[in-house]
Amino acid sequence: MRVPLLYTEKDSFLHRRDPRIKLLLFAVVIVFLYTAPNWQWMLAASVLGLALSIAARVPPLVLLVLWLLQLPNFIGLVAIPLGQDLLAGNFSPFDGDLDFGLKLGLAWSAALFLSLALLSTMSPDKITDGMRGLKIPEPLCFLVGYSFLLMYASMSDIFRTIDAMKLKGIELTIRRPIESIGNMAKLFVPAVIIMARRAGTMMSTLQLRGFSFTHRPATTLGAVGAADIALLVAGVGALAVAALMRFAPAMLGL
Amino acid sequence: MITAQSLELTYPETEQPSLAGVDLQLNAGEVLGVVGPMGAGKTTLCMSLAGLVPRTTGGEFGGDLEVVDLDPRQAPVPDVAQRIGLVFEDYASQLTQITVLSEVMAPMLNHDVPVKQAEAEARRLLSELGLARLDLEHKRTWELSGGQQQRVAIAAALAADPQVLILDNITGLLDPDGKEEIRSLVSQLSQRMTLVVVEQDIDLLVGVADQLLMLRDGQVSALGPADQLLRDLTALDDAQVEPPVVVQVAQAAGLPDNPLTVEELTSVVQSPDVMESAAPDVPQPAVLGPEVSAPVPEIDAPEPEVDIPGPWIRAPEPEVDIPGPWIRAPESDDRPKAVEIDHVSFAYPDGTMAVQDVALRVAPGEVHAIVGGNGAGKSTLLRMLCGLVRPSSGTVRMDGKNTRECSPAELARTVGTALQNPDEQITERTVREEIGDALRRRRTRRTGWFKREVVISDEQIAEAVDRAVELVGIPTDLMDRDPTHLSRGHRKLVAIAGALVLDPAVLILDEPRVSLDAPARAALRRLLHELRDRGTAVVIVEHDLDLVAETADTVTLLDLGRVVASGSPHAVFGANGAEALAKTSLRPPRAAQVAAAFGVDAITVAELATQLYPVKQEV
Ligand SMILES: Nc1ncnc2c1ncn2[C@@H]1O[C@H](COP(=O)(O)OP(=O)(O)OP(=O)(O)O)[C@@H](O)[C@H]1O
Ligand SMILES: [Mg+2]
Repeated sequence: MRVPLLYTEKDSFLHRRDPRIKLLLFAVVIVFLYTAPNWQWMLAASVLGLALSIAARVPPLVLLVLWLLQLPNFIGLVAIPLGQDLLAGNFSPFDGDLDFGLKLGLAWSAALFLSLALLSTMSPDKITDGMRGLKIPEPLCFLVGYSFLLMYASMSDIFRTIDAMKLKGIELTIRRPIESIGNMAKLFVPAVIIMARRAGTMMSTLQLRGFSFTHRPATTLGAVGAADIALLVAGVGALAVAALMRFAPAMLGL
Repeated sequence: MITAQSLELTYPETEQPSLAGVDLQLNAGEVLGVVGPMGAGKTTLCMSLAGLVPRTTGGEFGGDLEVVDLDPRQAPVPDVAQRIGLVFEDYASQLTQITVLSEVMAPMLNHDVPVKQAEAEARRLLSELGLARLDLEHKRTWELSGGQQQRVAIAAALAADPQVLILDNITGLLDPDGKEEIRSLVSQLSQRMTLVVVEQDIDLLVGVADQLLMLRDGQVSALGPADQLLRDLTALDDAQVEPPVVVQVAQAAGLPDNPLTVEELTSVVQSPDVMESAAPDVPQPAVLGPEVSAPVPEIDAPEPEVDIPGPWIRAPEPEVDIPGPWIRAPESDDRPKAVEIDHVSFAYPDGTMAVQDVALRVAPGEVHAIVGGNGAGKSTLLRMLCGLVRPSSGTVRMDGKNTRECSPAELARTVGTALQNPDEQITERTVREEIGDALRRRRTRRTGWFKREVVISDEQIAEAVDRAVELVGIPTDLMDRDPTHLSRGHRKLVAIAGALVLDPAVLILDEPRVSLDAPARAALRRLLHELRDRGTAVVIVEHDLDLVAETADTVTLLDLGRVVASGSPHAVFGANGAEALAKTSLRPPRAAQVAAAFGVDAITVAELATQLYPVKQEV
């Protein structure tokens, strides 16, 4: 078993973009999810996100699994109202049509694919560096970086604990699913002990290596290039058009 | 540079102080060696000197301490971090970044070194520590081998360029080349920093340490010039430390003084009266035969002249018979092998080919050592033996069972395993429970949907635990302690006892020697002999080649995942194996290195001493 990283260690157009730009685009995506005028926009965003994720060389299997994981949401938000619509003729939970459910359902896919395309192309170091470049307060940058590291470190610890537990005679194999699921609970205590033990040494090490909540380390960022700017302009432009379509009619009193 | 006066520390919820009345005075550029048995307070001393105790652990401290003009226990953390560096024994927990390169760059970036410069320096440090072969930008820190992790941690501590560097038992996991690299690194660093070096491998301190501190039960049992203390047998014995190998040889051969270096040893055995009265019946040409003029492995002393051996040395024994090809021909007898692996290869998901086309046979009652440099694939091979990893190709049969066909838990009934890092295995709250854990987990058997029957009684468990504890030699007063609070050496012993409790047909030990003191090391040797008598097959991975030479029946030498030599310890470590050995990052056992300086083909202290026997008679 291998610790899964959010980051894909590959090279692509998106990998080469400046982390500050990608973080700004990530903010754009979040705003977009609230401003998209209708489900067609969400569908377009999902398709774009999927295309970008593929361009960012996220393994197709990962895309599929993550997408399937959020499928229940989609079904809940779309199929149930749809079914109810069909059963009750004109009974309408969402203001008389499916639009809202569909938009919300697709928003999950759009959010998933777009953030995957942006975040999977930045290592945790790049993410924190990008945050620093955007003048986000240091404690927050440090915390974000540290949580990534702790998460990965704990995951590798847990995998090792699982191995050791197997040697102690606890069945944890796919071939015996029922027994294994029951046995997963037995992992909890040892995993916590191991993480607590690690945290002490890790804190000491971080202190002695000069990490702190307040001091900003030297940045690894380079200059922002033309392609970065173009990407940001495209993202902000799309958001602006979406916002116009959504709010202009109301503002113009139409 | 470092001044301590009646330094004292008591951890919370304990009555015994872990350090009491420690006085120290270390000048800039000096190297302090620290030795002592397990649980003597060496790590506590290191952490106190770095100000981490009691800051991160809690506890009561007392006495005066000054390190680079400040009291690290009370000074602000950033000030301490600028001056003091520390490398821990626990290699896995001190890696804080995702990739190897960023791990070493981070301390420099934290101290505002420009990125380009930090990267260049990080690459330089990493290649100095022998890691240039790795993909530094992409290799994840938690996917390194144990020794590689230790090397990265050392590089990261050096990157901060401290004025005082504390190394807490860091060479245990390093291969022989790595240890020598650390030795020369320490001598080199001592020109610009002050070092505190805790070492289990006392030979590494010879010629490096200026002062030696012996700790026992938190108290100083001896402190003085290293040159004198290292050969002071009473003091060493008091601190439960094995003497350096040259001292051992001299003692075993009955030499009057205790020489410390090979240079001193040669001058002692060469003294005129020895020469004159030496046995004349030994033909000199035999001594100066072709083996003698082979390159002498480097030891800390300047290379001894090749023609040093005087007439007092016995002629080299007739060559040990080794079958032509290095791999042992499969034995003809039909006894079932405890371990049988054929054409086994394994690649990690990141593409690292860790093991390639390895074949191995271990008979019941055989102690089989697997040796090789850091990252050679030893631990990976062991993980395949206990079924945690299935080979990418080839088959692994343990006690007749194919590991593809049973789960690791099933396999563990007959194959006991103590992993490289004991902390991965320890999960229970007391030593007694921890050791009996594997049995307790199998206490009941499902007999129906809701029914379970007890198959192992509590008495049986208690008995098995007592037996394992006795075999391994764990002090009985530790039985009710929390294993996580024990010293690392004791934790290792607990893990070994836990692997033995099922009375396995095969026992797998990954680096059992690390962190053990002299008594525990002796207990380990006894254990291996006992297991051989009981017919247990033992597969052991070990960097301490002297221990391997003394205890193993067969040695397999791995390099970059491939078997490069296999045979008796003599075949692999003796003069005949020198060529294959030299291509790896191993060196012959220390005793063999001393022997080579005299042109003798011996691989253990005992053997060497018998070959020096004529001297003993004459003196
Ligand atoms: N989980 C992993 N993922 C990827 N590569 C790994 C992993 N574990 C080990 N490796 C690599 O496989 C090779 C063999 O590692 P292994 O741990 O078997 O070495 P070893 O001989 O036990 O070394 P050491 O003496 O340092 O313990 C090394 O190059 C190491 O970097
Ligand atoms: Mg290993």
